[in-house]
This record gives sequence, C-alpha cells and structure tokens, in this order.
Amino acid sequence: MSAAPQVTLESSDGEKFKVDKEVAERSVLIKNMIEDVGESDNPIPLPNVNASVLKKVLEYCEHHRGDPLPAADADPSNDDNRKRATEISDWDQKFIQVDQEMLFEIILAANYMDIKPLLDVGCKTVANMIKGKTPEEIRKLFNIVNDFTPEEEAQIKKENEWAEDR
Amino acid sequence: MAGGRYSSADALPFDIIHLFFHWLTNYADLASSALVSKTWHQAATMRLYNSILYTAEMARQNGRISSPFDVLLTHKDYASHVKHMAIQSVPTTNSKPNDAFTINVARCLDLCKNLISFSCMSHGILPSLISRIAAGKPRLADLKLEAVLNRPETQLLLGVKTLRRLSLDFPTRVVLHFLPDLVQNNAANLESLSITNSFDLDHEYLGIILAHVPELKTLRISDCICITHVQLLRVIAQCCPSLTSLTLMVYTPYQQVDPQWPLFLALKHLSINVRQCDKDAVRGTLGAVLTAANQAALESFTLKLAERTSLPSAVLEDLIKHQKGTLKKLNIMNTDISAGQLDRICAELSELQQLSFIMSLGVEALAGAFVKSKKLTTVIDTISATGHSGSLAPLTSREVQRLLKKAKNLRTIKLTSRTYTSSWNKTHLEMSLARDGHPFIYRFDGQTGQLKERPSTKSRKQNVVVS
Repeated sequence: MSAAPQVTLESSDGEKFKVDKEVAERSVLIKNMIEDVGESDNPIPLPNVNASVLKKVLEYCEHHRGDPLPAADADPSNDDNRKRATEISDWDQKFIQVDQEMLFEIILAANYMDIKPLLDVGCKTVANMIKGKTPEEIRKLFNIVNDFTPEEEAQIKKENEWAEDR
Repeated sequence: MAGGRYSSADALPFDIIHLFFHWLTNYADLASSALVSKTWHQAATMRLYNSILYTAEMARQNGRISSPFDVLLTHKDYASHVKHMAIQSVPTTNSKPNDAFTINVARCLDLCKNLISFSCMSHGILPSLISRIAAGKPRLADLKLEAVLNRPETQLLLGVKTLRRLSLDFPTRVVLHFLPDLVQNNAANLESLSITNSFDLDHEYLGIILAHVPELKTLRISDCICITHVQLLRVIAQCCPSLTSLTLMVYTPYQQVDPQWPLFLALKHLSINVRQCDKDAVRGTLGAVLTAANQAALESFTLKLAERTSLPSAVLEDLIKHQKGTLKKLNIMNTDISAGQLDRICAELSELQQLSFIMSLGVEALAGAFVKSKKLTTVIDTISATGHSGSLAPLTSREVQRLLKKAKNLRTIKLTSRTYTSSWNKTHLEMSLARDGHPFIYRFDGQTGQLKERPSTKSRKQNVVVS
C-alpha cells in the first residue's frame, strides 16, 4: 500500500503536525506554498497559529478533506441578496462549540490560512450569537468597551431608526 | 481562557469584524451592532447601507423619522456602500409622490455609483429617477421596474447596457416598443427576463425580443393575456432552448400534446401558475406542460392553482415518474395534499430537501410521512390569509416539538409567522423560534419542553407570546 503524500506543518510554538497533503491543502495558503516551493521535507511554518488552534483547524480539514469546492447556489428562487444561508451543518456546529477565545482564534487562523468554508462557519456562528440582542447585550457577550459619547450614541440611534424593528 | 489574546472582540482586526455582518440579514440586528462601539459602527454601517429597502411602513413614517436617503445625504461617504436599492412605496402629498422625498432619492441615486440592483415598484416616482439610473452606474446588473414610462423616459433607459436581470411589471406600449432594443443592448450579459401584467405582448413579439438572447437562462411571463402557454412554450423552444428556469401562467383550455410538442432538456426550475378552474382542464393542461419538462432533470417545481383544490394525482405520478431522482424543492400552493400523497412524496422523491404545502394534516400523519424521507430538512406551511378553513389550525409550538422529535431530519419548519429551527445534540433536541422574520429567539429543551432561553429585553418589549 503506497502511503498518501504527507507534509509537515509547524505551529507558532514550534509543534510539528504531519498530515496528508490533501488535508493540508484545504488551506489555500498552504496549497499555494507547496505549489510555489515544490514538495520538500522541511516543515511549513505557520507563525500566526499556535498548536492548540492548528490542531483544531486540522480536525476541520480532515473531516472536510473530500468536500467539493464551495459552489454558488444556482437556484434562482434564492435570488434575494440579503438572504444568505446562515445554516451550519450538524458536524460543523458541534465542531465550533468552543469557548469564545478559541472561536476567535479559529476565525483568525481560517482567515490567515485561507480556508473559506471554515472562516464562514466561524463568522456565521458569531452572527448567530448577535441575532436578537441589544447593543449592551452584545458588548457584554463579546467584552467590548463602549467608546461612544452619549451624544454620538444618540445621533447614531436617530439615524438608524429606519432600520429598527424590521 | 479569560485574559488571553482574544478574550475581547475589541482585539479583532476590522476586516474580521466586517465579515460577521456579512451573515446578518436583519436590519434590526445591524442597527444594534452599529451602536456597540466605533469600530462596530463602521463595519455594521457598511452592511446596513449595502441594501436600502424603502417600505410602505417607512413611507407612512416619512417626516417623523430619518429615511435612509436623509442619512445618505448627510453622510455622503456611506453612498459608496450602497449596492442594492429597492423602493416599494413612496410618501405622497395630494396623491402625488412627495416632492422633497423624490428630490432626495434622485440626489442619492447620483451618489450611489456602485449600485448593482435597483427596484422601483412605485411608478409615480420612477420618471423622476430614470435619468439617474440610466447613467453613471457601471455595475448595474439588476433592474426591476413597474415600467409605466413614456417615450423619452424609455429612450433614456436604453442607455443601460450592463444588465443581467431585467424585470418589467405593467410595461406601457412604448416600453414594449423599445424592449427588443433594450434586450439587444444588454444581450451580452442578460440571463434573466421577466415580463408581467402586459396586455399587449403577444407570442410573435416575444419571439422578436427573445431572438436577441438565445442563451437566456431564466424567463418569467405571467399575467400577459395575449400569450397562451402553448404559444409561449413553442416560442421559448425556438428562441431559448437552454433555458433553465421558467415561470408561466396557464389560463387557456387544455391542448392535446402533439408530436411537435416542445421539450426542454435543460430546464431545472419550473413554476406554473394555473388560472383556470375547471378540474379536468387543470389536469389536462398540467399534464401537457409537464410533458415539456419530462426529459429534463427538474430540481424545483412550484404549482399554484387558482381555486383551492386537491392535488391531481396524475401530476404527482408524473413528477414521481420523471423527476424523482433530481427534485430538491417542491412547492404546492393553494392545493390540498392527502396523507397518502404526502407519504408518496416523501418516500419516492428521494432528493427532496424542501417541501411547501398546506400543512392541514395532523402531527401523526405529518411525522409518519416525513420519516420516510431521507433528505427533507425544510417544510413550509403555505396557508394564506384565508386560513385553514374547515381543516386543522396551524401547528402549535408543542405540536412542532412532537413533530421534530419524531422526524429527526427536519431542521426548519416555517409556519405563517413563526419559523422553528432545530438541532440535535446526541439525544437532545433544541428548538428555536423566531417570529415574523424577527429574531425573537426562544430556545426550548426538546425533551422536557421547558423554555431554556428567552428573547433579549429588546425583543420582550414586543410582547411576544409563545403558544
């Protein structure tokens, strides 16, 4: 049995991960790197991703290794530009049930490593957390500081009144 | 991991925060997000002003609250975010569009140079806007108009040459006169054409229009009473054989299928609106129209009947015979489906993912059918304002829970004003409810039926009661 070609990835904290090339290439960044420099035994450094996050990202890539590239929905009945599929598959939903810091780390890693479907899952998850919440609830949830003056806040509220309760 | 690098969303780069809002479709959520912090305001505003939808409700509130057009004129830098604009209604003064409003919209249109789609279904204001739409919009791809225009206005429209989708409702004769030119001017990109409510369009003239766009993918011809469905099918077969999506209205009596009956091999989406009432005629006509699609691999099929009646079994058998391996969406409006038919639909249409119908069967019958389907995830109750007359009332939250517990593949159940979504966590069902498209999200424990999470304080003010 001939083994599938493998590559080694190195996390920011120096941990090495040996994975199938097909799995690593879910990342467009890695795919391009391999194409640019050719295959080599040297580990591919990922200075922006630590080991615990990379492990999680690779778990996603492993599960989705055979997936076709995401295609645009051709159904014309879905033409409404504001309606986007915010549904997340069952496996992805369980995968992304992590603490908030890990969620942000996964999103940043997916952005850096250029794994669009994983980036989408992460951002959809955050979007779903925002739904139905007041500004104060959102601040509390994501630990965000309100840097508006009361006047600025009142002004924005007035301007966007048309968008409320819709 | 509190206190780590990203324990606060404040530490995230702007580009990432911006991506969150890409997935928010509700204006209220975006308005809330814009009030969180300065960074969030900037990112949410880009999305909020990406699509401007001006509704009848907003027209009623004109003068009392700022319109999005007022805001755009104050913050001219927001105009570059505007990609989509839809005007469904306009405020009026003495039954005419309000002058100040009209001027504001026109000035905004001048600023919105990145506009991709524009829709105006309020013809009173359109003549004042047409020159602003026709020039300086290099990306305009989608135009939907209630096209009550005179000759000079229509001639201005001919300046638009980048359209992919064109939809004209109530086109005047002069609009029809110039339509072949307009279609020809946009032939390189045009993939979708819709003409509705024309009393002048006949099949020969439609042939002249369609001759310019042999590669057309989507066509909708409805409420055009000078074209019969038979003439329409023949014209399309001749001019646009690669059509993938067709919406048509049927109002003439049944016509025998002949050897030259047009066949559409590329068709994927078919929608039929039946206006005749005689049951035999409906059965015959539908059979004939479906024959045209029998050799195609339909992915979606929509049927709307004029009078509420039961689904002709021949239509169902036709679908099962020819489309069972491809049909993903089936929408049956104003038509009753029996328990037996629902069983057949779920068991035989093996690719079906979405089913819309009048959900007037009991929970047991519904669940019994849904469990027979392998891929069905979304069901939609299409009962209209006429209500479930003589049949069961819409499902209650408890009934939906029972249904979801039995039919474990279902993820979304849409009733008239409520949408339920479910997810399974090992043996545990979680069900959320949103009302009227607003994210009043309630979470229930599927086992005990207990309410686990209430909507936020903002939503509670709306006095929402869960049945």
